[in-house]
Amino acid sequence: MVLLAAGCTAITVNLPPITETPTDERYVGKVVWHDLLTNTPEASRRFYGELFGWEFEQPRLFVGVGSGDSYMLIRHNGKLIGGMVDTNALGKKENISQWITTISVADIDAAADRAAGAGGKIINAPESIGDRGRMAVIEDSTGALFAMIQTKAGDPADSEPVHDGWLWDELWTSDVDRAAGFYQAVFGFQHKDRAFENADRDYRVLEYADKPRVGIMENPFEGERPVWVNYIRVEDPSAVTAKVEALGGRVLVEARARPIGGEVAFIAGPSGAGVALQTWPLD
Amino acid sequence: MRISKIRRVAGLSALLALCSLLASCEPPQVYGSVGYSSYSGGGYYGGGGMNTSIRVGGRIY
Repeated sequence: MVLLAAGCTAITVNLPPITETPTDERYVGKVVWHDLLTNTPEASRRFYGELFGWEFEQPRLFVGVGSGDSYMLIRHNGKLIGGMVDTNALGKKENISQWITTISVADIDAAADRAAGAGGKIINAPESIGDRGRMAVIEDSTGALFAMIQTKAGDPADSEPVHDGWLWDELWTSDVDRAAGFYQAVFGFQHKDRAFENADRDYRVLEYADKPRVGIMENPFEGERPVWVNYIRVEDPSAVTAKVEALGGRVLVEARARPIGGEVAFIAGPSGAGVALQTWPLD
Repeated sequence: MRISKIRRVAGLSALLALCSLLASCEPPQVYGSVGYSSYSGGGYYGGGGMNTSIRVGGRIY
């Protein structure tokens, strides 16, 4: 009673760490977490569970007030790979369903300042979320939502992407140059332009310390809001897309070969949040 | 008897005061909702439907 009466500030959010095997290192510019915002949590759970074998669980550490399943952890092969936020619990009328890309920083306060200075909008200023670390939610200078985190115990080590796990992250935006400038300013990325299909320069890879971290390309869907798109490594995109509609999702781009190698597809889950599928390696 | 009544009234008053205090607070953050509750934009909802001419990106190396 006393704790509650002391004021609302006593109620805090405590999220578990993003990894159970932290390195004590922070890999600047690395995408270390993915949160699914969804207004159809049960259907989304079934969708991703059936398609990719992902498992959902309630966090053990519960400190906040609200429904117990408003946030779920996602595991693949026993490893933490993301979270799912029930947007109904936020009391929002708008459908904000989407996957949120969370990028690692060494100093989140400085990174948030750089984001604001580079034309971004601070949706949520850096805030402690317990054992996970400190997190901020940002809208970039072109309007795409993403998050930054300064992990408390360190980031997970780089590892080879596994089947049905995360493979790559990429921004689809209406202004590639502007977006690239923003992310360079915030994270200190270097960029490389890559020929992707038939143009000399149509895909931008952002690197940190010579490590490719994320990509940027023109939004292929005309009129759609800029958005981060996350890729899942799959063995056979066609086999996945064949199950999508029965699970309440939609196939937005059928599986197809890429000129550079491999196959890709783009699907949406029951809430409408998009996610891409890709084979890996390229050949 | 009278003391007991005073205690009950005092206890009830304290409870009402606490309820009032809590009611005046901002809604507590729902677990896991950090930052998202104040966002009003959108992600991708597939409004364009399936399109065979769409070029999807992906990892290069």
